[in-house]
Amino acid sequence: MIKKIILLLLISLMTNSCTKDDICSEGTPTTPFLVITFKNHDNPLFSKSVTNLTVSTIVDNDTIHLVKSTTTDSIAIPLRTGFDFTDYLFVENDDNTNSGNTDKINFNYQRESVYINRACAFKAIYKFLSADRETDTENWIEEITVNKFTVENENEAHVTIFH
Amino acid sequence: MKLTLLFFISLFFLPYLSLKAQEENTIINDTVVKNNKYGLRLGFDLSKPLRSLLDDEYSGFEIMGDFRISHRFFIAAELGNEKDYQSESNLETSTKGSYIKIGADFNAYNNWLGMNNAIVTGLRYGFSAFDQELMSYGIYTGDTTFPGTTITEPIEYNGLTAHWIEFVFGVKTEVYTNLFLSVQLQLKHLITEEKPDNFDNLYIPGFNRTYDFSEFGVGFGYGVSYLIPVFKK
Repeated sequence: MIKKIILLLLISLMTNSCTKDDICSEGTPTTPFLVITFKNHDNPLFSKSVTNLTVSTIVDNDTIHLVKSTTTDSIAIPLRTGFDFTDYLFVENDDNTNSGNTDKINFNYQRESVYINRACAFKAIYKFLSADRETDTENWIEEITVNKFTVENENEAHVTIFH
Repeated sequence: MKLTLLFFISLFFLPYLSLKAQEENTIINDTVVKNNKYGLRLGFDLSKPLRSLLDDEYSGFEIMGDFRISHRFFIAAELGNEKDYQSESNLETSTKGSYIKIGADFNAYNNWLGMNNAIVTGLRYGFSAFDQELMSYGIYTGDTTFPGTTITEPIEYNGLTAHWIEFVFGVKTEVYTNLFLSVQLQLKHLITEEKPDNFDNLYIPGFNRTYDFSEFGVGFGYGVSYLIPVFKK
C-alpha cells in the first residue's frame, strides 16, 4: 500500500514539469502594429493603392525596409517600444528604374505597458498618436489623418494617408 | 530540479525507517488496553530550510501541528513564511509573505496494535498575505525591426492576499517513539486572490507558483514532528 502511494506521489511530481505557461503562444495579442490605409485624395471614400510602395526606417545607421516595392492600399508597421516616436520613409514608385518620390512621416505617441501573461510578459499600447508628414518640394502624400488616437489592437486602421 | 532530486533521495529512506519502526513496535507489551496516543504533534518542514540553503533564490520555513480528536481524525494546521524569486523568459519578480493553513486530517491506515503510522488524506483552507516586486520586464512584440525594450524600474505591489483550498495526501511514520517523519503531496485550488493592477500573482507563499490558465497549484512537504502525548485511549 505504502509503495503504491509513493509511486503515485512520484508520478504526480514528474508530470508537473512543463506547461503552456512557458511559451508565449502565437495567437496571443501582443504589442499592436500601426495599421495604415491609403485613400484617394480626390475621392476620400475610396481606397487607392500606392504603386511600388517602399516603407523604410533607420535603425543604428542601417536602413531597414518593412515594405519593398509593393503595390498595396494598406500596411501594418511597428512602432518603437522604447521611444515616444518613430520615423518612417514612404517611397512611391520605387522600382528598378525609378528611385521614386520619398516622403518622411513622424509618428509621435505615449507608451503604456499592459500585462498579458507569464510567458508573454507585457505589451505596449500607444496613446495620443499623431502623424506628421514633413513638407518637401514635391510631396506625393497630400494629407495624413489619425483615425484612432489609441493603438491597442489591429482591428481597424489607425491612420489614413490620402494621395 | 535540485529539489525534486532531493525529494526522491529522501523517499528511499522512508520504507527503511518505516520497517525499523515496525520492528521496534511489534515487541511491546501483550496486555495492552489503552494504546492509542492522543496529543499535540508539533513539527517543521524539512524541505524548505534545506531548499533555503541550496537555492539562493528561495528562503522559507514552515511549522506544522496537529491534534488528534478521534480515532481517525486530527485537527491540523501549518504556518509558514516564504520568499521566492521567479525568473521567466521575459520578466523577473520576487514575492515574500506569510501563510496559514487550517484543516483536518483523516488517517486511512489501520495500524497494528501499538503502531502510530498514518496514511493521511486531509483538507485545508489556506490564506496568504504577501508583497510582490516586479523587478524587470520585457515588452513583447512580434516585431523584429527595432531592438527589444526591457524595463528595469522595479514596481512594488504590497498588501496582496490569496485564499485557497488544499487537498493533502501523505504518509506519516513513527521512526522513534513519538518522533514522526512525513511526506505529503498537496493539490491546491485558488478561491480568490487580490491581484495587483495591471499584473498578476506569479507566486503565492504557501500556494506556490500559479498558472495562467488554471486555478490549480501543487506542492509537497517533507516534515519531521514530535508527539507530545496528552492521554491514551
